[in-house]
Amino acid sequence: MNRLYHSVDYEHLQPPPLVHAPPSSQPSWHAKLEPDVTQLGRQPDRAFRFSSEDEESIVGGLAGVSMPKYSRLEPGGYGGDQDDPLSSDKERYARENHSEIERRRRNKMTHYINELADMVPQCAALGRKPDKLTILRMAVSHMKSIRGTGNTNTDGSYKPSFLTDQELKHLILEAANGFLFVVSCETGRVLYVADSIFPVLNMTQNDWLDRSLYDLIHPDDIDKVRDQLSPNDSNSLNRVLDLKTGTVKKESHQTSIRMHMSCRRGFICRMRLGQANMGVGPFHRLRNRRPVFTVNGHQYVIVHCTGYIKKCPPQGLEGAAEGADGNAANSCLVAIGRLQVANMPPCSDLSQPPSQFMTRHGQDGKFTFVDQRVASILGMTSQELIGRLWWEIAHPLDQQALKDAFSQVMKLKDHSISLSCRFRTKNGDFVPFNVSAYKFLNPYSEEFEYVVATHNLASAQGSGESIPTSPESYPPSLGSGASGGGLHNAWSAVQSQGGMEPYATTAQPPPFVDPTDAYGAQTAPGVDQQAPHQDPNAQHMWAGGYMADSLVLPLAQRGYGDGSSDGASTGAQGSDPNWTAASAPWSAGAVPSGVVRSANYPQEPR
Amino acid sequence: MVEDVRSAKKRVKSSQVRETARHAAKSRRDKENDLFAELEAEVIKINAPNFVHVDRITLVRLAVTLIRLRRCVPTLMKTALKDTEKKAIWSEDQITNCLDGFIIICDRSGTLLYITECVSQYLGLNQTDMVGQTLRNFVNYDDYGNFQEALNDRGAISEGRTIVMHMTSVVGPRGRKRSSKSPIMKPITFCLRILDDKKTEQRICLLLATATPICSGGLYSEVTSHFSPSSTFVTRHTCDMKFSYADER
Repeated sequence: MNRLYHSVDYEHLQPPPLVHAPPSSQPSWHAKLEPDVTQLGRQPDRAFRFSSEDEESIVGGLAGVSMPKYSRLEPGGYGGDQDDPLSSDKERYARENHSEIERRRRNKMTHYINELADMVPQCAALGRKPDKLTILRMAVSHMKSIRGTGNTNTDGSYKPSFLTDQELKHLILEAANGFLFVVSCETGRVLYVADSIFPVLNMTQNDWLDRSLYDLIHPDDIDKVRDQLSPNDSNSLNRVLDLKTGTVKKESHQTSIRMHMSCRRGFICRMRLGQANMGVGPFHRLRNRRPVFTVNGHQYVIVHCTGYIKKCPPQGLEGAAEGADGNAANSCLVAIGRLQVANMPPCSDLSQPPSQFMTRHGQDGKFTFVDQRVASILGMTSQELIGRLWWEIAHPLDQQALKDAFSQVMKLKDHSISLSCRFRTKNGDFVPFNVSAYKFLNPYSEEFEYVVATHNLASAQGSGESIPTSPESYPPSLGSGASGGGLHNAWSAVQSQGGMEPYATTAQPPPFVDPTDAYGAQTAPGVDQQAPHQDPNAQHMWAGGYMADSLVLPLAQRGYGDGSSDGASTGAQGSDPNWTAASAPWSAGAVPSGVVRSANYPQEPR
Repeated sequence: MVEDVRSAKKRVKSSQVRETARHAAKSRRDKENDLFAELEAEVIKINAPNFVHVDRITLVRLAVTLIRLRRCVPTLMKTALKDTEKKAIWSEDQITNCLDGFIIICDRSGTLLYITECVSQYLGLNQTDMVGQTLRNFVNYDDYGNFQEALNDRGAISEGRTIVMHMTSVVGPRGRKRSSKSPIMKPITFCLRILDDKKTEQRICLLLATATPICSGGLYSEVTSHFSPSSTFVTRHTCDMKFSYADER
């Protein structure tokens, strides 16, 4: 009481008394007092006024009572006349800190209340700024009026939620191109499918309901899906490994609300598409970029299913489950199937013929790697070139220059060398190239790895008419006919559509993907059945990007024929599987110093 | 002497004034409490499993967001399909359990309008923590720039595209909960789609973060969103620097 009195009076005491004022108890009182009085509505800027007042009083208080914070730095200096300067300092800092926190809190509150006032139409209609209570009252009534229908508890009371069920369905459809379905585990019968399946797979609910899931997926996938559908042995499900004793105990009661991880399912399978009547709108979700498999006249697309096994069918489906099997205690899979749209890298423009190829050379100048574009430029396959000397294919007059350049490159550490040089084609003609070469050192060991040389066709007119300013304008690869060249495996099918391997520097599928299984069920659960706390998206990776800054080189506008498709296959065979499998085909030459930028992602230890 | 009397009177008067002021303030506070309670009933799911006390600021923030969401959802999230669904199927819990990821709805300015509850499994942050805040608070600064770029990209409206953002997470490497004061940044791949309504000029974007099977082609797009896509290609290496994967470029 006394303190309150004091603090109210304090406003009238102009300069705070130096001696007997308890060291700046005022500011903290302000802080506590003001928010209750705040009627922000009436004076919209009032909160700010308060805060500034606070500030003043704090500053004033500090200045008047003792001194600013620097006093702490000189322990013996100011405030020596006080009994315990250190403790009072501490107290003051605590108070200061507290009032700062309080002020921030108030400002935040004001901010949101004001925002609320803006959002609620009744408030906006008032014209003047209503006070906080009015705002709140109107907000409540507004929210009652806009609450979604259909979100009621079983007893009919309102259950607040952000989105209604319909909207959730739409959300899944839009965000994930997905739909929900429920399948009985034993029979594979579809118990439920959301109507949003239509835009995704062009199938109607009736096409799916009460059908067997096995009829709806690709014949090759049936076994995998059956594995996934088999519910886990109930014994193993309730058992936990006791880490202390190392024994497997039976879990007596379900402690965790969270689903047991062995119930989770994630698999990829091919699902049948409805008969394509392309004129109808919803089919747009399946646009071009998607591999479509055709078996027995049915089309299939890849669908990623994630879900979990439930012991009994979800609410509302008991009837359906019972009707067919006479067995209500039927375990079933509840899952969302979704198309994977955005994971497909966009298809680059493949229409232009290449004007550039890359090579790698060992210490002696022999080719260790030639990319397959050379086939359409020089007419020689990379196989033919590997092992030969670089200058063997150069014009006799250029050979010495090239040799010199090469030894130069070997001596220099961080420089690239460019020169013009003519190279022989298969039929004996000579074609001028602008060559730039640099030495690539292993970034780990700093040892010599190879020399990378980029050959750009010098256009016949000397300097080309069009000078591209960025490497992207270089057509990266062969014609679209190159598609299936060396890559007839599941990997390419999963990764991208046939025509989308624009520049296949690896002939082999990545070793950790078994091609027969690449999109089988076995790979996916490994990802999806991780513990939920693990971020499924944090994949291990060590990614290196060879950056090319703007590169100005003449681009030859020469029309090359379509002899490209065999280029793909030969190039694929020719590429050295071990180490020289890939390089930065059209950009490495632009990196003068052979900079390797690597993105080292934060890794999640598994 | 006179002065004393006067000051005593003054004291009495001012104490009366204070008394009435206190009463007024008290009734006002009571009303406010009631209103907040009502608001809470409107906003919060009481039976949420991770329900804890929600402070008033959060409450007001949620209310604002809810109103905002409601305002744009009816126009943008309409299904052309008939509402013939059984309701119980599409509960939020179902999605939490089925989807191996989370979905964010945010508006043009980057305010999170909605985020699925299951985000807490991935980031350790609750729905109530995040809704209504701006996405910028949870995303690496550079990534947010990319995100804004992507927002203005016309392609994302129809096609959807993939972006990677580093999001703050309080779930540590082994699933341990970290202090919210020292979050870590986790790279997360999002499929971004934008819903656009020309009439009302509303635009929201949907961000879907899900697990992608390793080596499903996602690696490339993940990396190219960090570097300029035209001049980058991706390789994966084993420890001895051997290539284990190189993308199609």
